[in-house]
Amino acid sequence: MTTYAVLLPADESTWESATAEQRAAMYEIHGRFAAMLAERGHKILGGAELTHSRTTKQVRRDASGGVVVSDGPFAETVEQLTGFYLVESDDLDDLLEVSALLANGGAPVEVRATVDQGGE
Amino acid sequence: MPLLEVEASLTQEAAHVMADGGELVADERLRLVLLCAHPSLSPEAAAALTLRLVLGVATEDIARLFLQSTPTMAARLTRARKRLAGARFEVPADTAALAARVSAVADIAYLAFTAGYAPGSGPDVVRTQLAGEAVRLVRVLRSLLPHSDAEVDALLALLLLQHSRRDARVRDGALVLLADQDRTRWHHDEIAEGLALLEPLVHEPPAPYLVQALIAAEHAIAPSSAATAWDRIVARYDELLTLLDTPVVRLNRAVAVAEASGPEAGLDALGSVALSGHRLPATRAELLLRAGRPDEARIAFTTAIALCGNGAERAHLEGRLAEADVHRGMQPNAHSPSGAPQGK
Repeated sequence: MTTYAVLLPADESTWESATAEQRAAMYEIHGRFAAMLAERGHKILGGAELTHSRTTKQVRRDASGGVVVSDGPFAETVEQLTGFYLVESDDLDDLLEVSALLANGGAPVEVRATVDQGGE
Repeated sequence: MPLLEVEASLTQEAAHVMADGGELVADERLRLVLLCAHPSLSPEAAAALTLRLVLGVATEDIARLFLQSTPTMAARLTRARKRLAGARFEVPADTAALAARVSAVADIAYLAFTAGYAPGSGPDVVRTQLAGEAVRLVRVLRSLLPHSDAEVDALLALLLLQHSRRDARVRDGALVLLADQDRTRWHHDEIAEGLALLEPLVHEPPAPYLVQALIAAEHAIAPSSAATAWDRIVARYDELLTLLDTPVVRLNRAVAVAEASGPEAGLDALGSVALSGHRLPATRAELLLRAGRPDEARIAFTTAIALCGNGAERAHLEGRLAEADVHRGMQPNAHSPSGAPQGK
């Protein structure tokens, strides 16, 4: 078994300007994603929908080693991480197939394996 | 060092305030209730601190109520107290300012109640003790207020009416929906108290807790689900939507619409419910089944099961999925996600 992060980068303005009906349709797709994962023997370990990237807080060290907390990151790119799932799976190809459900409107889905530390 | 002092003085103050019930002490106790609802605290932290300091619930019990370990809850309580260091909170003389603070306390009590009534995760359908503590908190708040507050009265009525169903809501560890509950097992003394609280409020201007309590009252006075005044409940939800437009209110309204005007009308109403999690697909599945669309119902039940974190609720949904399969003229569970690692 491998644990994968299913990352959802997207244009946040699309979601912000969506109507209740459009949002409901999107949640329905996520519901179908979860159901299909379960039916095909994958397991959702966790995940979350993220708030808008403008609510991000950055914690950094300045040159003198002091802690600086700031709002940000105010990235240049339109696409930001909007949410993620952690999915345990033994079949990456099938996981990719199911993930295609979430790929629509031009926004891609990124699937990355987590590092197996071999602890168990 | 300062932290320890704050802790000692807050705890001492709490002990002093709770020592007896004289009028001066009641005012002090109100001050403590308002202090615990300080805006610098998260609602969850405020709820825990209120249970600890106002109701005197032991830290380990609060931890159990909120499904946390005792050290975690102790650390959260300590941090909450630390945040309140130096915050003095006098009872506002201005009626509007006091009402705003009281409203914050009411919201905290309601949060604690709902956390007990419908835990999102874990094995229990309801954790009635936490809900019971929330009812107690609203009673204390009500007894301490210098003037009666319609929304606090309405909140107490709402909690009493919902809490009165607790014994009928679970059978053999499984969830029993409102329509299937044995109404003789409702606590009718609590229903009577809730209805009496609402009587003088019926002609008050609509407010969120009042409208929700009036909806709960419609259920409480109905002899059965079929004999419920669903059209009046839909009208109340329309009223509530103008005050509080949330996906959950829309979802509940759609359920009432389905009862009043049939499952297809309910499914239409679900179209504008933007809600993640299992409750939306579970509701859609029930309505699809009732509308004679078992194939689509099975998909929706499967979705709900995949998204549900509460063991008792998931068991209920699995039972309903089997029911949908019977309606499809198949062996129950023939296509269930048995290969999926669903269990704990």
